[in-house]
Amino acid sequence: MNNHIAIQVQDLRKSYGEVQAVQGMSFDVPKGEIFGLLGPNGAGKSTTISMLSGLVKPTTGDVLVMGHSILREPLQAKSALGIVPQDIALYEDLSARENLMFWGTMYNLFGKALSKRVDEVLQIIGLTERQKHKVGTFSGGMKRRVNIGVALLHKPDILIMDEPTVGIDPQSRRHILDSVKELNHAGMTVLYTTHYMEEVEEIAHHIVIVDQGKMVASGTRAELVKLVGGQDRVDLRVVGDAERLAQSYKALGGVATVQVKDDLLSLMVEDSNAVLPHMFEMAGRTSTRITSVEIQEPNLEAVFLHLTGRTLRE
Amino acid sequence: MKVLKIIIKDMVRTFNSMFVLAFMLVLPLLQAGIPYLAFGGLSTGLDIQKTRVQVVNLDQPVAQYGDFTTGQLLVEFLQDERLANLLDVTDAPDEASARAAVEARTAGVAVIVPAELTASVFDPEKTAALVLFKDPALTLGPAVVEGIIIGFTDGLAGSLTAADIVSAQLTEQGMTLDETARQDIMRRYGEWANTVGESLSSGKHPAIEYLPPADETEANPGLALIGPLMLGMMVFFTFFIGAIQALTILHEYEQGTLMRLFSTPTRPMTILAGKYLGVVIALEIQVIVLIVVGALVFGIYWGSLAQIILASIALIVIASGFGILVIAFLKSTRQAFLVIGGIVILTSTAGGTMTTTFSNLPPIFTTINLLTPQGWALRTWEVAMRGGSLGELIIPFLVTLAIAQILYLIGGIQMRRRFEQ
Repeated sequence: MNNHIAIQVQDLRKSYGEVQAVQGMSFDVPKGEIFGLLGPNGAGKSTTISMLSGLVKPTTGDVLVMGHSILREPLQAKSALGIVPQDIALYEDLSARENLMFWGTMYNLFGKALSKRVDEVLQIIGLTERQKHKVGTFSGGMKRRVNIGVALLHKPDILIMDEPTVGIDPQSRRHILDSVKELNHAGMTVLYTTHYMEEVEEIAHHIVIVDQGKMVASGTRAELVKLVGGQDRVDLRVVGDAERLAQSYKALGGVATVQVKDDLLSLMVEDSNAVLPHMFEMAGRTSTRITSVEIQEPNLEAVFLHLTGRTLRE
Repeated sequence: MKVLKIIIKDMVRTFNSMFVLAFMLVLPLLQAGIPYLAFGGLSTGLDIQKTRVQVVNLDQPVAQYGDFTTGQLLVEFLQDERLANLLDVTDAPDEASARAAVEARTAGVAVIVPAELTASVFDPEKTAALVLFKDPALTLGPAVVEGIIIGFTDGLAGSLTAADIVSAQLTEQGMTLDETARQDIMRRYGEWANTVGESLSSGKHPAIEYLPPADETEANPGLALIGPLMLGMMVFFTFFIGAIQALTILHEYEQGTLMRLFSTPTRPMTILAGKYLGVVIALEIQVIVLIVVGALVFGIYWGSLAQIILASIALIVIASGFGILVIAFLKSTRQAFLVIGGIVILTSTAGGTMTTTFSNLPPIFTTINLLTPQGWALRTWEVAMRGGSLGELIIPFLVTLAIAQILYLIGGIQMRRRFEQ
């Protein structure tokens, strides 16, 4: 294995009976990078993370973590990993400190070293003042911080965060994103899964887009955006026969793709400035009224739409 | 070390739960303790509060019998030291003050001895009535006084009858019974009647020989039931708590902490061993506390030390295995209490935990008992508690352990299937 690679995913597959949750996922996570795994709900991100963590046995394939196979050397591989699960996994009837002390033991920390490290982590997550309070009394954002703190106890080489910002307030979300950048600056490799495009756009050095259990694209943001050829995304809200209008737009020059959902038309176009007047004209001819127009420059949402024909949030 | 940490964490959470503590210790002790108190377990016998009695003796002597009055005899009888634990007797100057004392509740009963009592004793033509004036709020004390007085009058009547019979027989022989002899006969009859009365009041008849009781429980049949009752409750609640403790595994799975544990560099067997041992240790604490309290407070004989150890091990192992088996097949914690409650009650009832105080159960019921794990746990303890030999105990002990192994095996396999995806 390449010494610069923290995680090597080798043709990972997982089937549950007839359902193929993950189909042939292969990618390398370089050391010292923030690696984003972007995809909608049900894309297979969490299943992939579970296999990386050793919680779910792959149907085929393997994962090497810092050179150790998760299948053949699970203890060594898991020692290098700090997992932040999507759902809060803490003992709510124990205090924050008690939680960290217990989980630290599970990561082979004991005695004074454990106690000292717990103090450090409490400071990192900003909960030193509340360490003796039961986790059950914490807000959602505070619980998430303890959830992350547990994963940092043993100073892992790699931090895996599975959708850490789902269902939390913007302030806590901001705090988490800033913490991820800080940890990475300190040398930690981070594997970050999310269905929020703007998060990976902000923090990830390298992004893999997944959909329906498959990798559909991989690269830096700039590389991925180039896949849509610099096309603009135009979202139109209409009143009237949206389907009929969409059909007529497909024949319009400069329009690459058209997608209809209820009263929303999403189009990928070469040049929005050139195409928009024709769109309005066609709308008038089909007796359809356009009530709002939104133009977005190429982004990962556009890339996903281009590659899959669906939006990230569907 | 990690196993210990998991066990300690689980113990802390267990003993923080009032619900678990109540079912583990409080309820089984209450279930046995209440009947224990009801059967007078904390006292040496029947404790009745003394009744305060005001006696007014208006009885007048009959000339031919000197200064003797039956009324004075009654007063002395009531003031006898052998009745001191029941009666607190005071001489009242007159009837009015005696009645006033009862009305003022400074006395429970006033006994008014009429002036013609002695005359009526020696002259069948005359009658006299003893008056008992009692506090209507009291029932037991006045009844005791009434009973004592009835005993006295019956004894008196008996002694008069005895004297009359002797006099009649002597008359047939052409002799007469002089007054001194008559009074001697009455006195001796009275002493005999007194002896019989004392014996009867302690539950025995002077004509019947009683074997001395081996221990207090023989003298008090109620207390003899406490041991089997406590045993049944201990077995029932140990199985219940075994399932409740095993439920923490499912609860951790649902809250995500179990899978988080599996994601740490800790062997899965270490994690599961910690969880399983946590169940065992909680049950160990429960059983030890119940045995110790049962022995020290209720005086229950559980068996010899070796028997107690073996029977405890059997109970703890089988109850924990049972708990793990039940939880392994449970879909979620939401249905837990209904399912656990139902299964534990059903199997415990069939196992005989609710009928430990019954002695003549039909043989079919004994057979049904042995179809449940509770039945075998009970069987082991029953051998110990009736003083059976170790050899007698070893078979139910080994069967119980074998059943426990099967329960652990099936439960363990199902648990692994659930957690290994």
